[in-house]
Amino acid sequence: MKINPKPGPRGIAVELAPRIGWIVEEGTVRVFEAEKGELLKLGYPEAAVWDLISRYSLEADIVPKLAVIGGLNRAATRALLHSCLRGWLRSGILVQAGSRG
Amino acid sequence: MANLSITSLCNRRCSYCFARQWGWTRLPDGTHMAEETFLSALDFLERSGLTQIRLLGGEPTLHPLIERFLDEIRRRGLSALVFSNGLMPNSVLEYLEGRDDGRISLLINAVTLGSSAEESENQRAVLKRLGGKAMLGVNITSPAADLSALLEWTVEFKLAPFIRLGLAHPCHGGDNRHLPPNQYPAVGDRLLEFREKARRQGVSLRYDCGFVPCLFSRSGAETLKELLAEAQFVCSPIPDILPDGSLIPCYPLGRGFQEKKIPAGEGAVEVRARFADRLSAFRGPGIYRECETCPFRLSGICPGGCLAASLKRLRSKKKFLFPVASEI
Repeated sequence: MKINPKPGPRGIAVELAPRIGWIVEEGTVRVFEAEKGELLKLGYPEAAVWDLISRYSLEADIVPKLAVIGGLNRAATRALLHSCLRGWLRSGILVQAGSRG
Repeated sequence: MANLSITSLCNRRCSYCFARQWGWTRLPDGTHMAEETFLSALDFLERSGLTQIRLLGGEPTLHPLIERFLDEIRRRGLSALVFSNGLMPNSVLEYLEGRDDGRISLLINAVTLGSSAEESENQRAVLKRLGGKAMLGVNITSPAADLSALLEWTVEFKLAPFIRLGLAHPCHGGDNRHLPPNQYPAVGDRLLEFREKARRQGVSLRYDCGFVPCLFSRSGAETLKELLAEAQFVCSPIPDILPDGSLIPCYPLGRGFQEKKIPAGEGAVEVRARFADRLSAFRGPGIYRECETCPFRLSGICPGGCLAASLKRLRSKKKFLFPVASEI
């Protein structure tokens, strides 16, 4: 999956699947579905990825912060971010924006 | 333990009311439990081995058949604990006054904060007549809650020497007034003082579900040890049987976890286990971020507070946009 810093003709936006919420703990983020309960328990650095994408909507805002948190260089940080997003899209926790119905 | 909510009718509008929130079960205000449903619920409770029948509402004394229901409970050799605001019809009060076999007791929810002088006087008049058949309770919505009247009334009217304390929990998916966990320590300070005063007067405190050890964070080690024995920090399904015969784990968790009817052939143990199983998927977080690493939680002493309160921490975001390209 290629990542673009901005949405455009080659880009899609993703958003939370319906009925998904999350709780931030001391060292984790727990992701819930309204009926099924806890779907994911994220430790760091994945929890940091989730926390940042819940606050910022541009890769340019997220990558520098994530790099500091994770102690990674820029390329590794982007790889981490994209890996998380791919996984969450595949699992259905994130969906393509506009497809929530 | 199990609760029978026999009516959704109430003559008060308490801001914290848990029961009012289950309007989302589409029960109109003023729905009374049918006699057939009540008898079926009694059968369920008896085969569950429960001998104390707890009647709730709304205001249960407003049910037109309340005396008949209480007679049936007594006829079966069971006892009843009626959760009431005390603002009951005089006929019901006379019925209760006249029953001295020890099988009916009342937990009167003291309406102090926010009540009118008239309501307060009405409650006092009822308590004077009920005496030792009644004990007082309160649902705490604020650290400013003045509990002193509870002790004064218990002594003045010679009520049963117990006071039930509850925390006003949020209803999952609802908007009732509740005590946010960040105010628990302030409440705990007041409760520690109140507990001492009550002990000096020979009155014991009983703690409803959802209390947590850290609420009493300023207590000394010896007091905390006593509290750990007194309070039983729990959060588990009750269950509650609603006027239409459906079951929920408890009022705060009614939404989304309802079972449609009293199961034939099963008892409360099976129903509780089923609810506990369904709720287990939500039990991870506690009411605070720190619950994750709290030694009381890790050792099993504390479940992390009220589950409905912990689910209040759920965040969601309608727009959660992140621009990515797709090459799936």
